[in-house]
Amino acid sequence: MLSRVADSLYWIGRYAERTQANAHILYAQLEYTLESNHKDLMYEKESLIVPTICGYIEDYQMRYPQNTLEDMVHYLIYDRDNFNSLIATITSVRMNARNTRDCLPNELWEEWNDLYLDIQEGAYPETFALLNTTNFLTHIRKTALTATGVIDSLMTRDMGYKFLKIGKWLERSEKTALILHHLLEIEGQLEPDRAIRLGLQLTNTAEEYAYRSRVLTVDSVLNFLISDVKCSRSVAYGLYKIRDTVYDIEQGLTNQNVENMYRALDELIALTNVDMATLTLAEQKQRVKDIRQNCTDFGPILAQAYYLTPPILAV
Amino acid sequence: MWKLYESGVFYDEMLDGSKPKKHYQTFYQQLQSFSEQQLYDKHHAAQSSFLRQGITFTVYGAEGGTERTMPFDFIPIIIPENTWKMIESGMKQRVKALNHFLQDVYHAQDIVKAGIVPKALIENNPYYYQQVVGTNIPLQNHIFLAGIDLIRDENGKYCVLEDNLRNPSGMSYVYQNRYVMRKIYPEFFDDYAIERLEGQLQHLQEALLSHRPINMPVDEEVHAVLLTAGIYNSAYYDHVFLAKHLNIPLVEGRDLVVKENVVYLKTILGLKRVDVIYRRIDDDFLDPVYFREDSMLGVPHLLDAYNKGNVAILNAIGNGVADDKAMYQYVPEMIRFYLKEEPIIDNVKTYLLEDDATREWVLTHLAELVVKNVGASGGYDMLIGPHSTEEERQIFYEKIVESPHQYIAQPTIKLSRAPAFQNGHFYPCHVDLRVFVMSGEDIYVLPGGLSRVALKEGSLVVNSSQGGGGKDTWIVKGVGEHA
Repeated sequence: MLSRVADSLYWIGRYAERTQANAHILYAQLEYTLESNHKDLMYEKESLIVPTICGYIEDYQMRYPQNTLEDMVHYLIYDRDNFNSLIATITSVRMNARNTRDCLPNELWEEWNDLYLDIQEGAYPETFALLNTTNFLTHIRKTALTATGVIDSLMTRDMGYKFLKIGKWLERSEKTALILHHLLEIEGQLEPDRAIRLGLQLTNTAEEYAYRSRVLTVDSVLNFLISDVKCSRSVAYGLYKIRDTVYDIEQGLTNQNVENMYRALDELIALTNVDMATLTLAEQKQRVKDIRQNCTDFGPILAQAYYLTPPILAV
Repeated sequence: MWKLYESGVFYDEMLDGSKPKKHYQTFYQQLQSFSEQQLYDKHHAAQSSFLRQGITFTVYGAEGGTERTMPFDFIPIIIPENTWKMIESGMKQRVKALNHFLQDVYHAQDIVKAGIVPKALIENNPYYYQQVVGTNIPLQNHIFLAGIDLIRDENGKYCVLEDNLRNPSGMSYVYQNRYVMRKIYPEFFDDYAIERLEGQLQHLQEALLSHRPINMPVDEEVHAVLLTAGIYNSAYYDHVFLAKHLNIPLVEGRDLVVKENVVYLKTILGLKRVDVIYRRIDDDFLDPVYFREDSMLGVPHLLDAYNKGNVAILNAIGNGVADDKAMYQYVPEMIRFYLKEEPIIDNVKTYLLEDDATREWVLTHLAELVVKNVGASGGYDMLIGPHSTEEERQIFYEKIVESPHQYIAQPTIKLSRAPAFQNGHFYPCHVDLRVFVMSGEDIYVLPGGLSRVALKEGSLVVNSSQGGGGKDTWIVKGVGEHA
């Protein structure tokens, strides 16, 4: 497979996952906000969680100092200067899909292209209206989920499929680590249990967790979201999937860059392989921080192993 | 009851007066069963289908590039089988002769020695590349895929308007027009036996892979790629479609590298040898070392690999010398010289303007003639005399006087017309037909081709960049022509 094509597919996987995750997080936050009093002190403390997890907090605070709900929605959905806004990630998925159309099922292209065309035709105007915004987020999530279904039902399990999935898994592991890292940092400022509940909510695993466990403690939730390989959104789940896939790609062949990738991946997996109950809170924070940093560093190491080139960004 | 129009002085593909020709009668009857609203809904569904699938081309204007769909018109051009057989033979004959010519001009130049084509016309041609003189190419075949544009005059006689031997685009539209027609207008296929398009790309694939590089061992598998300029190229969808159906990677210049005169593909597992490049970028951009040094699309030293016989490039480098609008005039003579045959399909009468007397005559008759730049395409730098203003004619007068070799003139032909349905009504539009000819060890003609229609009422320009649209083209069995 061409390196450039593998690269685009990897980024389709990442941007599609980011789109789906951010749409979910924003949707969950909007629902929660409905029941909150804007003058409430807690509301103010929590209002920066979503822009921190889904965007670039310094950039947001500089350009939207008022930090109103409308500001947050605009920044995270429509702002084209924010490379992580939903409009930007959707455009990036489409651009990269256009660049690899010969390797993708038509249905996958059509799914993202339809959403893009709806946005272009003004189906979801930028003026803030709660119903319009939630409809838009629902549409985005459905598109992302359908696209995942198309990939799983129609794509041959060849190199293209593998790179799409590697992108998706890495994005997901990194996002889970990012959410946990931020929530642990502000955990003391929130109401009791709020951080762990938010962790489950924002990773879209609250139902799955409740089904698996009746105990709700910081340790058990951290174990669930970091090392539990039965949880499809845990950090370890994504990393093991990536490891299986790169071994499959290499088929025993190797070189220095591939060796470096294996080493980085093994180190990262080892970091997740821990019982959080045995660590102090300070150690937990440091561990989650390290996991997040190593996830972020792994992308360039992978790119080096497969001669990947920079992604196409939304323009 | 739909009433179309009176065909008038123009040859009409569908109508004789206001009545349908024999091969259109079934279609015409079916048409009567649709209400205006139904046709409107179908029309809308067809256009959305193109947009949804991303079958767009990019138009560059003041605001940068915008993605547009080619408007689709549902009334097909129906060609009876016997007429098509004649076209098919004519196309094969023409492409064979043009290929002989290309092989000849880059080697012995017998046609120049015989005094048929002036040497100056070759040597002054900007698309005649000294860099490939004497290069041996696989199968001695320069034309892997040709797009020959045909028109019909007021008597319905087919003529060749233009040969496209470099990078003819539009084959994907032939397939997509048929796809949309089948999906949205299935009723019209009743009682017609039409030549299928399925399987035809197999011929293209076979032709592609038959261009085994001169130095390549016979027992090795040929690895081919399609070289595109990328997603911003106006014909990008065409490239995607062909790469997908030919089952070859779609690559950009930056995906290839030449090492020791061999071309390689940069893959995730290292470099992989490439044997055949179906390129869809122009000669000038292929290799910055030998052609335009500012080219970001090409591959340095690709020409070295080509000249050494390590890679095949399709269509071959330098084909532009044979499809320019001045050389066009000599194609009938090429057919006689190389094949010892009479042309099956004629050219449109063409005036070269270097001869003083001819030029003087043309300059005094600009209002009746069409003037074209020999190197331009897409309907650009063209004067359509009867539709022009005094001021436009003056501009072309000066252009011709300044560079007579750069222009040719042709009589204004009463281009045939066919009905189109847009904005709720039927009206006659001028049409042409691009026929695709595929050559390798054998030569095939894609049944039908791309019918292009000048949807702007009264316009003669069918190019998609200037408001032209597309129609499905049916080769039908078992109906006679009633011309």
